[in-house]
Amino acid sequence: MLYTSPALETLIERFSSLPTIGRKTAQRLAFFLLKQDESEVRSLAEAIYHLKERVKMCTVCGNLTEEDPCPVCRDTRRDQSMICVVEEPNDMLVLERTNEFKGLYHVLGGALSPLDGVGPEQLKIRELLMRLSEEKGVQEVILALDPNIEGEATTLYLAKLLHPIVPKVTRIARGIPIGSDLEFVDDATLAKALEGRLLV
Amino acid sequence: MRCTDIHITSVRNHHLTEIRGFSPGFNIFIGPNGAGKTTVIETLSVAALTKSFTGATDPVLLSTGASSYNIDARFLSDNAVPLHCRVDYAIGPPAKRSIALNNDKLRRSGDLIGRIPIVALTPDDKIITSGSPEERRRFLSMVLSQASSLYLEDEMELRKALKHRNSLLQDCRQRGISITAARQQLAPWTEVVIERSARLMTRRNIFIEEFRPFLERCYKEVSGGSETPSLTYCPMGFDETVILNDFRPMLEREFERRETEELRRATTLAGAHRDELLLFIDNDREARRFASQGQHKTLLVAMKLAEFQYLFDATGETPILLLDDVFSELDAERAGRLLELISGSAYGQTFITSTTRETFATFFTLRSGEDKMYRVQNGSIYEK
Repeated sequence: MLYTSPALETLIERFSSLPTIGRKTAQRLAFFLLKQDESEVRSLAEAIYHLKERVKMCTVCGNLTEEDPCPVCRDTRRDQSMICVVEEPNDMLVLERTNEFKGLYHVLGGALSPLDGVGPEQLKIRELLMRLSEEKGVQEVILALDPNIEGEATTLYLAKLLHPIVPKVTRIARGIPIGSDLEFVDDATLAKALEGRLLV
Repeated sequence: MRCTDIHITSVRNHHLTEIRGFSPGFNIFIGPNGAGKTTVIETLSVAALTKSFTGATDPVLLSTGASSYNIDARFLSDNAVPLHCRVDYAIGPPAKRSIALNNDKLRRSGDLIGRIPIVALTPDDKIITSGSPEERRRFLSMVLSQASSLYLEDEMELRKALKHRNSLLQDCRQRGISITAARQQLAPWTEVVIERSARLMTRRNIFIEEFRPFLERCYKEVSGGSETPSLTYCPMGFDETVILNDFRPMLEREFERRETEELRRATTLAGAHRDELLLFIDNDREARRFASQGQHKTLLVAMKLAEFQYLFDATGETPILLLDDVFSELDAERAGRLLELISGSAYGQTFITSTTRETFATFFTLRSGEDKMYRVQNGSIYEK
């Protein structure tokens, strides 16, 4: 049963289908928009529409971009001999923020997860292999996947495929966050860090 | 470790129960069946281990008609460091459960396990000595995950990896792909299973050696006799004397040997989830087949007391002991000896449930000023 305008109810329904948005927040958002100027609302609607219209996937690395290839792939100043493999475009943004990695990226679009029906064909693994056979200069592939069982299986799977064609295949270390106290690190992370200890 | 206070809201028939100032010795709950005795000690197990020893899930624990439950328990470590644990559950949807330790919300519930060591003995535990291998693996898991958080982590990851691998095996069988193609897809999951299994097996192997003397001693104490129990670790069911510490070659061999069978049955047949733990009473007579009813009971009590001693040794903290309705199962002699043992200085705080005061009184005389007795009726508690 509708208590108020169908347009309002529809919008509330739409909002509450978004992640982390519950029914109450959805209502607040809808009523907030109702009070805004028409131009404000129109520009929000356009921003949402443009998201679908303009953002596409980089055909080289799988990153999100408006121009294909993406800015990272087009940047000739970047180190063309290194490719860092990540699960999602988001992970790439995080790595970029460090300003430490100047090489190229490859976004897989997830990790192997048979329970969710994700096999090698669902990930951009074939694209990675093609890329490596075309761009001969790649010296190192860094596997920077999530430190969980799916990320680990994917790392193992990729390592086996990459070893014959790339001189150096590495994975990022796992350990203790900088700036944290040892006593506040969870036991499992600490145990893994102890296992991966380094010579000084 | 001991529990000082507990506050329970909407767990089974305890709509609102608060008990302050538990005894550091015995806390005895007396009441008829269904009064809510077990629930009190069940909530302690939820607060310490994130789940009930009865295996009850959150919706089962929730009072009828309630939409959320809450358990708020305060503990004091042997060194008198306070520990405050709060478990909140709401049915939702989506169902939500959160655990906070000293007011810090835990990222994962596993981070709690081992902080408050607990040993529970309930009538359902009979299956440990008489039931299937799975029951003894569960016992192993219970003890070892409280003693080592890395063990717990490995075990949870193995479980996840097995789910993935089994799902992939089913997929391979359904699509009828060649064994070579299947092997390539399975390889990373096989490797993860092997790696985790090898680590778990090493831990289990060491554990059995460390646990044996505890079990022998506790069995003697409980039985008062001369029988010597024993236990053997059989990795993936192999009853060979294993004096190896690297289980990798054995796992690799098993995966290779059972490859076609795995694809046919679409389930993972090698790994730490196939381990067996054999229990013996006197001279290699396997308990499951040869033990009398009485020997089963003695062995079970000895296993639990040994678990207590082992956890104390491994964590440096005296565990809390929960005895749920054990006097209905034990005869007077065993029950009396058990109570005498656990009232000794090697043991700490104990929670006991019993249907009648008389049943309990036949076995033990309360130490005045030390032990506390509570009457439980329809989810309400009255201190005696």
